Amino acid sequence: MTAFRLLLVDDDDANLITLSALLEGEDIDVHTASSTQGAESALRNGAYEAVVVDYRLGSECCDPLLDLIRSLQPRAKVVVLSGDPPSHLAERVDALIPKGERFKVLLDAIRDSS
Amino acid sequence: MKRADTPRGVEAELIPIECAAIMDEIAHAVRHDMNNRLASIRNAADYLRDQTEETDLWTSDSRVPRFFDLIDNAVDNAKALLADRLHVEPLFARRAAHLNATEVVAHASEQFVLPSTIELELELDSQVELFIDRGELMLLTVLLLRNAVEAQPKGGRVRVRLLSANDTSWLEIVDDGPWLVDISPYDAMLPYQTTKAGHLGLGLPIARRIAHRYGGRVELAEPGAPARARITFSGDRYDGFSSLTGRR
Repeated sequence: MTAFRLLLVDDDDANLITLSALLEGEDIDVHTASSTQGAESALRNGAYEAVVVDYRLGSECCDPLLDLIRSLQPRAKVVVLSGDPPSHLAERVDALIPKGERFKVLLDAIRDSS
Repeated sequence: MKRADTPRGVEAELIPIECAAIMDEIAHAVRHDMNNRLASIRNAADYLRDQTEETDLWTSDSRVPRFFDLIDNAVDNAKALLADRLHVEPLFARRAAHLNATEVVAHASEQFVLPSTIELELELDSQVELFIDRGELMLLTVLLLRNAVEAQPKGGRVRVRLLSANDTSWLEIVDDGPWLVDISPYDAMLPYQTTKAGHLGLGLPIARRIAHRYGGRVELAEPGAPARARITFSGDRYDGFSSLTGRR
């Protein structure tokens, strides 16, 4: 059985390594990127079942990255994490989850989308 | 040349809106950054809990599971505090509407009290319509104007442009001053990033937040290019109360 491939994009190292550890514990094949550019490279070079994105990447919002995901990998489900969730995004993504929610919330969103 | 410390003209008119916008920016920045920290604490604790639950430590020392619960509850309580205590929306009385942006930008620019050494040029398309709150469009214009004026302490020229084509409008402020000295466009958009003494570094982040709330994107010229801040509005979108960053 092929592992569920997930791209995790977050510019916060602490979140990237801790969330990766939790996702890997669920037998998810986690790939990481810490910038829009890094995410674009990953999206162009591999297929993902799901992409989990931090809303704010540096000073940028993830809107351009969402466009890119839809364009490069339209079948990938998209979950956005945010420390301060913007309401307008909900209609553009499969799930919008406030940072600091229990891991189960993210896991359910990913599993629902798989 | 030094600008008066006491707000005058349109800046005085906008004091309540600017105060609320400052509170809003600080609240968003604190909420965002603290929730990031809390998320990594919770993730790390969840991972350690998973790794520990199947070990003797979990059963031999009853404080271990209790302490993991304590971390979990503390994170929940901290998140609730952030949501409750940093709820500044009651400070706002936004009324987004289709309005004549040309008239609003002209008013804000003309009523902005400029130093005598600064020359203002307006290039405004007639009847540019935007879906935005009038006070916030004025504040947006003033914040960018202020930035341009402060970049030219020895005087110079500030050009305000409001242009429109098809479904897109641009508000542009161009000046002759040195642009983004010692700070990148990337950092200039982040709160608390400033090289100016006596400043908090909230002007551009507030401008970005206002712009983004109404579907606008902020672009700052790269160092070396003519000094320019441009906000591009495409179509209608009112984001209610929440918005975060624009893009470089």
